[in-house]
Amino acid sequence: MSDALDSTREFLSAHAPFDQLEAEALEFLLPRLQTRFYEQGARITDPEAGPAQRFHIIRQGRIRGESPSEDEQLSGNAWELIPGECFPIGALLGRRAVHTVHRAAEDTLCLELSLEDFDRLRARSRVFNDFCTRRLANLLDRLHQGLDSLASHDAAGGGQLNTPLALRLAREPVTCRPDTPLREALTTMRDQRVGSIVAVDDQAAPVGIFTLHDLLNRVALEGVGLDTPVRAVMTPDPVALEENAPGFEGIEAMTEHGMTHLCVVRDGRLAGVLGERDLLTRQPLTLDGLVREIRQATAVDEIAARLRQVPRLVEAVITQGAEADQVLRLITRLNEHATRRVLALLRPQYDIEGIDFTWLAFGSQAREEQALITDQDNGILFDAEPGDEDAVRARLLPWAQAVNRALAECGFTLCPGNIMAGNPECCLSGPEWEARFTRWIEQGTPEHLLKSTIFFDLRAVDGDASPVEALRTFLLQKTAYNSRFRRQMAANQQAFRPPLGLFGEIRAGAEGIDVKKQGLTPFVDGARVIALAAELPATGSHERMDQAVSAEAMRPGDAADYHAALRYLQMLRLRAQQKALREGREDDSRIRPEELGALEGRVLKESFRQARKLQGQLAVQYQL
Amino acid sequence: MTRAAAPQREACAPGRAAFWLAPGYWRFCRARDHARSQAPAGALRDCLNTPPPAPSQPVARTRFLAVDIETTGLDPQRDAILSIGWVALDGTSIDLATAGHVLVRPQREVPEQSAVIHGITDHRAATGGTPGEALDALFRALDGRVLIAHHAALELGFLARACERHYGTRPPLAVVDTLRLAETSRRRAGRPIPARGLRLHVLRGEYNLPARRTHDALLDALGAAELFAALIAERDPTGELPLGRVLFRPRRLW
Repeated sequence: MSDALDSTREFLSAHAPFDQLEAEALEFLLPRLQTRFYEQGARITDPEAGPAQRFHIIRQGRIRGESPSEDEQLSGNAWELIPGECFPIGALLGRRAVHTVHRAAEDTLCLELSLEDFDRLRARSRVFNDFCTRRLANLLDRLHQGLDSLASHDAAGGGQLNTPLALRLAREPVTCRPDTPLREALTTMRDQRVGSIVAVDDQAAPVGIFTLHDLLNRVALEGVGLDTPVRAVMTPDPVALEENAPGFEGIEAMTEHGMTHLCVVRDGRLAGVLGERDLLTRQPLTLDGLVREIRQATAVDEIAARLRQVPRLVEAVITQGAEADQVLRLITRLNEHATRRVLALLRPQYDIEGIDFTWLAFGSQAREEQALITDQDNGILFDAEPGDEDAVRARLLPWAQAVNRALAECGFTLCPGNIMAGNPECCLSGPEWEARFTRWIEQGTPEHLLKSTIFFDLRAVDGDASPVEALRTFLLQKTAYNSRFRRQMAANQQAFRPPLGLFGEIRAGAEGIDVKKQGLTPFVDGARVIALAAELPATGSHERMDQAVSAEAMRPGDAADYHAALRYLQMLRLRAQQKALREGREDDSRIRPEELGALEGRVLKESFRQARKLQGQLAVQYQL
Repeated sequence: MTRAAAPQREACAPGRAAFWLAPGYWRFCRARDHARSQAPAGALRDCLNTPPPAPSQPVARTRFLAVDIETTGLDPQRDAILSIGWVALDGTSIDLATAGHVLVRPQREVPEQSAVIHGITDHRAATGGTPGEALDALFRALDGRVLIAHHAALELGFLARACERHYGTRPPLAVVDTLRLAETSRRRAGRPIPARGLRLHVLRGEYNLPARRTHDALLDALGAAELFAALIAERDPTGELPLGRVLFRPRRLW
């Protein structure tokens, strides 16, 4: 009878992965399901009972995983499961006993499948097998599909930032030669109704770009004659990207170089030109405009005003489908422009000419993972003759302190740990920095280390970057050969625990979850420990994991899961901050899991599970 | 199996633990054998040929069939069966593959007020089979199983009437009534029973069972099956409870 199982079919069609199951696989599954009832408190699985024999889908009720020991918690099985969720997949796949007692937290009805039918279903259904073997990535894909369809619906065909640049090219590029007279080039631009023209060489490679904006600044106002060749007034070496680069890279490149147009090339030959509007449709606030205004600001409060627009810009970029790490990098770039401008603005008022120094960023800014609300962690690395350090420092400090205050005005709150360039301890010469790091690495107490971890994420923001790279090489060598230090770092990494019993007790606490401390920190710290151990020069958490895979310090499959989980948590934090900003609240990283949808709740749980997996791997590696 | 009070042949065999109900059980077995001798060859005879389970047998090792019948009214003498739905259980584990549902083409037109309740209109009912075909299908599924129903008296009344009409006999059936089970468990626990508190969907709510569309024979059968599993889990999670303790014994039939 075909309609006999309709209510079960209806239920399954509302829950991942069964809603995506191939029709044939669903028809296989349905008649093989058995329904069982478990009274509140009943044990459904038991580690003592030998290899798991049944696959359970919760039809109604809640199941709690009970962890007998801390070890078990590390395996990440101690969760509350809700209707639509399945267990114990790992045990069934591994032909092993469960690690956890699954107990009915309330009267619960389960749909169940025998081990043989579970295996047969996996063999039949790519969707189901995929779900079992890569649960997080699978759920995230689903979530993205949902969000993407929402976003594209919303944007009514507006640009998806992950589509390649090639898809955005609407027309053949309008070109001229570098020696074409200006009059001729302008005529072409008028006839073709374009705002820019690209000068190309014999191989059709772009050598310069000339825009209407340049016409105003470099021709009309300067009184340059129209017989001048384009070469004299064009911007040479325009920003060019390969046509298969995603839209987002285009925006990044424009931001970085402060350009309004981007050349798109195919094997080095010009394929087209994209304006900012082609990339960010439907957006009154432009990225390039913001960067330009920051770079041209004449006072600190102007910069502050510009930075207040960042959340709006970020919202637009997120709507267009950018990944969280890309958004964070974008925010970091904007903040960097702001920092550089503040440095430049304050420079003339202080006597610091002739000192060679580099402005350093620590922590999230160094990792290029700055979120919307962030405090400043910075320092100075200066060059001085031995013995001269104190004199140079005395000249730099007043300016550095002024910069710290100005940055605070711009919205970067003062660092509560006083990790700021205006602090004499963070304004050091190269050898002094080396000495400081050596002290931490060789003699640091655990508390010391906890405070100093953010120093191990460092990057040059302004000034010569080479002394910073030298310092990094120095400290990586130190850490790579000091296992006591790494062990302590790893121990610190265990400090922040992803929350347990996510949908049970904590909900009653009404506190919500701190995504940053409980979710992001384990990944960021874990990536740092691995980077320091394997001498990886990267600072960003994602790049560190990529390099860890190349260095064979991390399995590719694990890395893919960690990337996905970290990206998801970063996006979650961004959203939490956006919400906090809208509502004018302070607590920026708190979220309430019950406010997420069912699918997203599962993604969140799975992400925390990945965080614990990473912690577990480090714990094993360092025998914590 | 023990032979305590087995009356004729070995068809009926109450367990030793069930002596207290032996007189009733004895009458039940006699009536069942009588019905078997009268039943024409076919599904009902086959079903009656399988010995009924002993009352001492644990629930966990008994096979059940949860059944629900939708009718044109509440009077077995006047009203007709519209559809029958069922699903089998092994112990308390519900086997969804066995779910079955038959529509019955009624001999008279479907009264409007009953069509409102179960959504079976003349048009839909006309696609069904004859009552005889429906009964044959039910008894094939019921072979070797104990019937479960919510408010079983109604189901039994309609089944008895239909069997009389089509097989010329009223077979006594071993039945579990989930309404009675729930009522007993509540009385035993000293809990008050509110008005309408024993309705299927109300009871299901108490055991956190999913809400379902009611007045669909198959879904109500599934609903009764799940409720039965929940009631047994509450009373004895091991399932070692003897079947005799949950059987329903309507005086009129036994």
